[in-house]
Amino acid sequence: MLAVLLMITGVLTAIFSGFYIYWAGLAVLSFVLPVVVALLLYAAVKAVPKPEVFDVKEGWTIQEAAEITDPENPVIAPATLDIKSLDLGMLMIGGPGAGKSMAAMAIQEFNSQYRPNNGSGYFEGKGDFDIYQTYVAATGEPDYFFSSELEHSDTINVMDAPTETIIDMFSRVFVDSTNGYYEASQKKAIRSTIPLLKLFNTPVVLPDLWTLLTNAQAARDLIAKAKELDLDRDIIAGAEQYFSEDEEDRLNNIDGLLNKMHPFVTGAISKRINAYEPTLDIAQAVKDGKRIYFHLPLTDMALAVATMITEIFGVVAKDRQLYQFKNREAYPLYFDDWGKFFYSNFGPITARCRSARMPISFFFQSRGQTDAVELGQVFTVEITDNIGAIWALRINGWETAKWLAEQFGTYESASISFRTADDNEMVGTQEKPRVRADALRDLNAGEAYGMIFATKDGGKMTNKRYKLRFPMPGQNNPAPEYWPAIAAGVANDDAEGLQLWRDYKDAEATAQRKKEAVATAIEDIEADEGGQDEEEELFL
Amino acid sequence: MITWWRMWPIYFIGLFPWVVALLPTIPTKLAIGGLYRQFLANQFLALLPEAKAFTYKQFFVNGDFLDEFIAVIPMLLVLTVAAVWMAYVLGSILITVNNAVVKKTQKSIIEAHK
Repeated sequence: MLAVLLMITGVLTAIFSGFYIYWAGLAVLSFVLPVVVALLLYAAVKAVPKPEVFDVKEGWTIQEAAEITDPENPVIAPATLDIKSLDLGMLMIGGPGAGKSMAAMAIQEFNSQYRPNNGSGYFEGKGDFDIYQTYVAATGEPDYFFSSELEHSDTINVMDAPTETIIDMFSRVFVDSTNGYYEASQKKAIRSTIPLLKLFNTPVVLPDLWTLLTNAQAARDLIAKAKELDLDRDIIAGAEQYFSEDEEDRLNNIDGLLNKMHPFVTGAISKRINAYEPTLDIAQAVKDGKRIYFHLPLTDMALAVATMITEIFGVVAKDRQLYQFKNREAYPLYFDDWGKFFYSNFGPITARCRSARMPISFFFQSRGQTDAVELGQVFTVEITDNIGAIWALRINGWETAKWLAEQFGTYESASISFRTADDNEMVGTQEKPRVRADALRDLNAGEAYGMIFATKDGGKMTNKRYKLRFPMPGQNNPAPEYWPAIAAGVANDDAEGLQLWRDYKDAEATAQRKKEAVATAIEDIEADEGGQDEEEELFL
Repeated sequence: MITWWRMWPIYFIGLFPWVVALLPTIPTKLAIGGLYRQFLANQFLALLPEAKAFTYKQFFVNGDFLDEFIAVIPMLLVLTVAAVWMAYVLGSILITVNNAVVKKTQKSIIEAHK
């Protein structure tokens, strides 16, 4: 209204000035008045209240989109999803065939074109070859390819992490928590032995831990070697105390631990996750901005490997938080079809990764999958709170659809009515759900309801709601005809490492080590006696 | 709730100076129109440079009803501007006070329902 008044005043003043100039000729007011008019019109334009527009400058533009922040007045126009919000990670939920994997590919295609040197990690939980084909066609060959199933894969070392992380990770993966007594014994075994293995500042692998736990000679030799090198006495004492227990009882107590560990030590996957000189050093790959494809089709083994890899990413994120202060480039992580892979530490790792500019995006099927992680749906709440955007693709189940629809909140629908009796008007408002649960069950493949933050300078932020259709990933590169052929790295026997497995792997090798140990002990005794004789002679 | 959609007729007040200026002059019976136009002409005359004031005065004095009206249009514009701003201030006060009362009433009704 103020703007209208200023405008009217400006126009009337302009007419007045016309009359004045007619009657007065070129008087002083004739020059002043046009300036007054101009100022009034300028003030009128400025006084028009402008809606707070959150025009996202940088981000992922989706062509088929409608902003439904006010669902009664949808804005049908291409939507740009703010890159700052994409860097907070996303949650994408949809039933089978709803388009999750294709959306995951499409966002990676955007990422590879928008930030080609940043790299990313793609965790694929289905294992289909066509997903790999689509990935390569859209974004090109990955720099690294790790598979829990395929023989030709890059190799990693799951023990290439700080001691505490390994203890935590192995306690989660290998310890059987169904029996409190055995759980405590197994955790004690891990806590006593891993610090000893890591003491030598040389690469160690899971088979080294296996050997240390199962081979008393190896344990004795390693403790002796640690003493000889004068390493941390507290750690040595802890290990000595543990190995001083009765051998049979000790092994009985950790039987469950050894059983769970066994496939990872001798199984087909062992070479891929236990390399002294791995071809894939995850920390270095993140630092160098490389793209990694983790092929982890769901099995119990893949689940354990995925947990270990996720923990390693947690370590990388921690390092970035603590030591990389400048030029921290975004390194997005995409966990596709990951519902069964969630575990209790995922929440803290998500938060840590997001803080370290390693945004995690999850693609899964059901709220049941996150609820299953912890009692009381704590994990579901945590994971939804830790994320920058939520997308709901087609959902079949009512419970998940209802829950997701609730996430979009409500809006106020205003209506005006007139009362004839007293000629008064009434404005009524009604709160309605922005998205109905039923609407989520009728979406086409790739279509989604979602909300994502949009940011403005000065820390201003709004949560925009959209209904959109994610694009299909492009065919930018020739699709491969088979899985990638990865060259084998340095064999463990030829690499630098603790080599407990190689040196004690069978009875013959152990007997040989025993002989060597006895020979060394005899030499030591003889040397001591020789020294004593010389001293006695000197004394005489 | 009162909004400007209901209050807009208040701006008709801006036409009032024009209506009065259109009243005819009937000596001894109804001289308001003529007196009013003469008053406005005098105000405008004060704004004009001395050299040009005579021409305007001659135009007003020798002119008929229509010439008188045309001569006072500039001052009518000034009065219109003043009138609409007065209406704006008055309307704003009315809306603010009334809506504050309505909001308070609605809030107490909602609280009572709770």
